Amino acid sequence: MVNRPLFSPRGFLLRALVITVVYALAHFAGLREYTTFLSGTVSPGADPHTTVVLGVVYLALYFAWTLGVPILLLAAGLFWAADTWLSPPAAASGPVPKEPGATN
Amino acid sequence: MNPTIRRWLLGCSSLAVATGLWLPLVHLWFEPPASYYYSAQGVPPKARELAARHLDLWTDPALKSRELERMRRSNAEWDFMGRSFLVWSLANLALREPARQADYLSVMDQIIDETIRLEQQEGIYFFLMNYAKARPFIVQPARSLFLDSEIALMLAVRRVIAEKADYRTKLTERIEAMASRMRQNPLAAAESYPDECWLFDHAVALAAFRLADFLDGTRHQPLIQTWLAAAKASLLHPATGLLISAYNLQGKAADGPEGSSIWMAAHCLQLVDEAFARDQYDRARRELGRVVGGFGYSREWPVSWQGLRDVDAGAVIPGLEISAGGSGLAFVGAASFHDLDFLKTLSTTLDFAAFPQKKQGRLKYCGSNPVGDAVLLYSTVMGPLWEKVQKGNPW
Repeated sequence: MVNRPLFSPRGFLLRALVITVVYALAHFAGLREYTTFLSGTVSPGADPHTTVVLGVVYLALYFAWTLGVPILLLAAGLFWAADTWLSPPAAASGPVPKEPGATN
Repeated sequence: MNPTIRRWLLGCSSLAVATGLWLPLVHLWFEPPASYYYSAQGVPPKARELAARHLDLWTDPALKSRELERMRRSNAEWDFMGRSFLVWSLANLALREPARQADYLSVMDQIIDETIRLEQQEGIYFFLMNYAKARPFIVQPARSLFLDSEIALMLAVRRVIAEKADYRTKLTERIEAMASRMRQNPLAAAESYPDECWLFDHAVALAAFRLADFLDGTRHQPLIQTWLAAAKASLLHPATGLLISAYNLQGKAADGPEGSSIWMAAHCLQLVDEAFARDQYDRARRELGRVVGGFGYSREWPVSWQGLRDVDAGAVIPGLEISAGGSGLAFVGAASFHDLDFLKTLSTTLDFAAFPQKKQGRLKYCGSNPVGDAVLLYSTVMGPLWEKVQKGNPW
């Protein structure tokens, strides 16, 4: 699973899972507070540099989660459907095919 | 076909189709129901949650000190404006929810008294940005219309809810201070900063005059008409017909139209010239309001004008030219003119990109700050106060 290539249904699912986990960690660590830099103010108890850096990190993870994860999930389904549909009929009745691009 | 090429083609195609499917739909995920943020009567849930958070700020000294301090580190004006918008919001809340009027009045008085005390103790520069000290005010003794207009409107809205003798005197003094300066100038212009006259502050001053007339039977209509005539004659941006945001005492433009000024100006002008206010709102909606993929926002400047980036605009995201300050105040404009379609798209953007955080019935936007949240609160409760004044004292 770890070596699953990016361009495979499982690869997409894995990336979506990783983004979700990292975003959840950032969220529960309280990084959302640092997005106050968007309004030109500093997070309580932090200096401006820390506020901007942590705010940008949270912003990137948030947009990756809200935009990237649904796209990856949809793409994984589309990829799997297209691959199944485009595969030669013989492959369906033969041995279980390896996922496209799988190396292990 | 080479398996690697096939895999890349399938992968890229899947991602492209998924992106094309998700991006047009993503706004639906964040679109709040209109009943959450807008209600002609009563208090919408969002207003209650935002108000609860703000009332905490004024009842928890440590929290208040921390929040005001972090705003003052960026801009002392925001400390002041957060107070103003909260008092104006609480006045509307008191009209929407008479059962809690005493609670709201108590906090309003606390804010007003402390604000006036700080202004008297520390001087006008306490709530102004540092550049105010760079040169002297032209009209002496130095006064700022920024402070006078918002304090006057705070005092007036409080008295609309319930009379308070001390505030009647304070309001009269404040109104006369503004009026005498404006009468000295052919454009009815008064400084907010040295030789800087701001549309936002004049619009608030006009609203304060109107409320003072409603409360005390004074007559500032001629002065208001002088300002309106001068504004229509010399403060309109030729390409857009929008009022410019800043000018000097001679009426020379110091800036063009700005989102962080025009939405609030249109809201205040409703009290003194409904047709002109409507025209300015419609123009602002056309020139500054944008909706992309179901997400609404305000540009800071129209396409035909590139202003200087300043602290009023907040963050401006290049490309789409999304203005944080302008978009926040666009809520005020959209709510004032019952533009529910635009309000819906603005609210969608807010819930998507301003990072709401709800805890124990209290709402704040992490991507905002107390002044931004106070503006949003005002947009959810405004209406009853203007309506009461317009019905009580029609022009």
